[in-house]
Amino acid sequence: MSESVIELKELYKYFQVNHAKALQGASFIIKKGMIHGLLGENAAGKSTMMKILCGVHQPDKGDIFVNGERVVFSSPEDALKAGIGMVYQHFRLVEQLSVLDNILLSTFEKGYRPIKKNRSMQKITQLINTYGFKLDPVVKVNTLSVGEKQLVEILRILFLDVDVLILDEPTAVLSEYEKEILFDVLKRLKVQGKAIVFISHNLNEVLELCDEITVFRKGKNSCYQKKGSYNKELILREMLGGDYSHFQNIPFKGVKEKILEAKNLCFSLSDRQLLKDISFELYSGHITGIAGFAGHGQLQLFETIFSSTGNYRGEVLYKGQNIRCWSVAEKRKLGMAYIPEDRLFHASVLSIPLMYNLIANRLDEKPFSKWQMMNERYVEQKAKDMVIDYDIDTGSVAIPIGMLSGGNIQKAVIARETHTTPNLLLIHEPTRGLDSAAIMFTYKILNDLKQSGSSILIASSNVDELIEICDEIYVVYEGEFVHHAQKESFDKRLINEYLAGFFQQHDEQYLRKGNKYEA
Amino acid sequence: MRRRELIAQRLSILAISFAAGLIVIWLTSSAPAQAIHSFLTVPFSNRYFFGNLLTLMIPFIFTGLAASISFQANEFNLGIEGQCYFSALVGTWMALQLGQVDRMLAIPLIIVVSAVTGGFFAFISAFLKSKYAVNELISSLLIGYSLLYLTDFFLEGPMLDLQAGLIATKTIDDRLMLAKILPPSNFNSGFFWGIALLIIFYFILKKSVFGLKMTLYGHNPKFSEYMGIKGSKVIHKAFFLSGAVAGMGGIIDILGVHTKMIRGFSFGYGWTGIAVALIATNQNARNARNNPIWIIPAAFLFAFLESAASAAAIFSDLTPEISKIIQASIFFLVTVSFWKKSGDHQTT
Repeated sequence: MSESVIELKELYKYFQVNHAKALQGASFIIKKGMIHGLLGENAAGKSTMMKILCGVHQPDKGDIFVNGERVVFSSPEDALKAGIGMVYQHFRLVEQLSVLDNILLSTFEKGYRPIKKNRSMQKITQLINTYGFKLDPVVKVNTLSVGEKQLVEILRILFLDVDVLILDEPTAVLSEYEKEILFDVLKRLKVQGKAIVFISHNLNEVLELCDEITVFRKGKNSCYQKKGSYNKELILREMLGGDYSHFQNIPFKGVKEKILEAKNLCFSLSDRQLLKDISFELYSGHITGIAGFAGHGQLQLFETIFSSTGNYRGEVLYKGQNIRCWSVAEKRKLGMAYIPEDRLFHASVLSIPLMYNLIANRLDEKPFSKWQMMNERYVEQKAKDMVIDYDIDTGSVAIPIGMLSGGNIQKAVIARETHTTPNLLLIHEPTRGLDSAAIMFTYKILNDLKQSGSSILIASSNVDELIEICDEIYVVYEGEFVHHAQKESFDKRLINEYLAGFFQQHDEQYLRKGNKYEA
Repeated sequence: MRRRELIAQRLSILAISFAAGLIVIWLTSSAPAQAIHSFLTVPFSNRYFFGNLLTLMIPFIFTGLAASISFQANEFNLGIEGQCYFSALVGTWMALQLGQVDRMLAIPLIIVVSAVTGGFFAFISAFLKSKYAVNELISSLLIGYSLLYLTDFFLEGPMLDLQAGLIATKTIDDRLMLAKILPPSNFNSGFFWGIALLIIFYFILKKSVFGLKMTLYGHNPKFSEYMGIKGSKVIHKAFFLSGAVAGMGGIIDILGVHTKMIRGFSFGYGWTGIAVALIATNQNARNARNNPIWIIPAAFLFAFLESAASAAAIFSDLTPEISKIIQASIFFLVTVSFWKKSGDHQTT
């Protein structure tokens, strides 16, 4: 029997900035030696709950008990002292420092005593060995992959001797392979008696990993289940509170035209070849997928097609015209749209009102601006229409987009790029970080676009998703298309093998640096 | 709510800075009560002093606006001092050539020439940045300083008026001077040029497509690239406008007050302008598009400090440097919050 370590009782939290009732009487129990899955839609209150536990936020009402004693955490420091640590969704690492230095940065050594590097090193090495991390503490963080960075974050928390580890959507940025490594580490931690809270909205992951599951819905815990008695349907229904339907892949009935043709694309950056001889064709009413782990050239491919630098070899033809010298504005005008992978920092300006974010791609168009002056009234009206059409949850279109929840920011980005019905949509990781309802919604929009004759190019590391929605899949590995399949001949196992590079020579250098490319 | 917070923050900065100034007065003056009294009241005591306070506001409005334009695109034009000084020289030269031309034609022409001069030198920094990725902060600073020395060369050499008795050019024809208001003070119609410019830039920054593009680019260059906004165009325009406004500030001060180009007449205008812009700018950028109208109270504040200190130096045993102490602490406190706030900005 595992004993209860931490109990959160009847928490309430109201945020004044966006008038959100984040928590409405939520309760939660964390036990030693257990992985507790915390499921729920975006804005269901999962993150708020955990931030309260970590002392980032203070509850308006409700109590926290640690080992039966009532406690009040007024800062993350308090929570850490009580042995509660959180690994945040976005990394907080200093890229230029080594793993060791990054870990030491977060210790509580006050004053000017010299840092005991050797002793710390010993402790870190010991931790690494105990939990089976594959990390070298002297390596600089900027040479690590995303998955390794996550391990550094976890190691950093472990270094502070915590008993309760909270991970906020740790898998959102990881590839399948990195996920395996993470799960392995988490299972070892569990065996060592740590309590782990695993926040996610990927149901399959949670079912696989967790010993118990709590589903959050509208600021409350609505469902609790133990391993062995999982009822997937029930959990899904609790999460969504509505119906759940799959993507309907209906073939496009119109005339298929060739929209884009890439011929022998090559791109290198400081003598590293990031794209190797890539050729493909995109058709209207057709969804083409590029399967591949993060950093295998997808970003570079999209940049090559969409940005205006033109420093690649080979040719890109858009409806038969060479687009090497076109500016981004010209490309957009002729019906191209792009949703980059990083929705927060490349696809929105967080401090700018939602309405400008929603129409930022059409600033120079007629009703939006006249005589170089913005037509504020039209912009606002248009933004309000889009908020309704795309079901964006916001009180006003004039608040900065950064005040919306992550899922709603994504919706806004998708709204901006798709409401124009582009001829060609490039979309990178379309559903990463979205909850089930938003995923369904995104699929519906992609399908609508397809039916209206748009050509869509999707890059994703989620093979299941691609198989479900694509008409054609290419597999990219180290900047090269290594596999090509049409809808009739999709073979998940084969795609996964190509994806993981089973048929290729591994290029270590490439794997490390592939992620680091910045245009 | 945000705006209220911001105003509260600014007011507390002012309170702390004034307190610092008062403490220094208390420590250094033999009759502190008298000194403080004259410091706070003399600038408002009569037409002459108040007029001169308002006169001092004029260049601060221009240089403050110049700085705030570049801030809006998250660029730093640190060459305002030099742009202002050199443009004034070019404008003065122009004015000396145009002795016979009708005033309604000549004054706008002179101001436009100065503006283009200032804009050109600021543009160089933007061009270097977009073409060769030269840091605009450094290039504008260096070019700005070179302009100061270049101007001094012309003043001490080719354009020196030997009869003047100080390092200055010949006096500009009276007809070309801006109209005086509130005599005997120097207050002149340049003030209304400044206000008009602020109103124009209010519309440019808050309402125009270019203003929005500048804001988007300033907050997130990568994003604006994806949206089809040409970053190089934005910074070219932003720097040109910034330099042009700085240049106008220089020549209007000559035409309004000095009647000829005097060595060092604009000493500190550029730097004070940056301080003015920092106070007037909403750095946490919640509402994202700054309102240039705030430059008026900010410029007033700095003009008050300068004129109060020099007035107090006449009526009590204070030194004029007292205003520098208060300005310095304002500058410190404002920039602290500036960098702190811009730290959590997204930079890509």
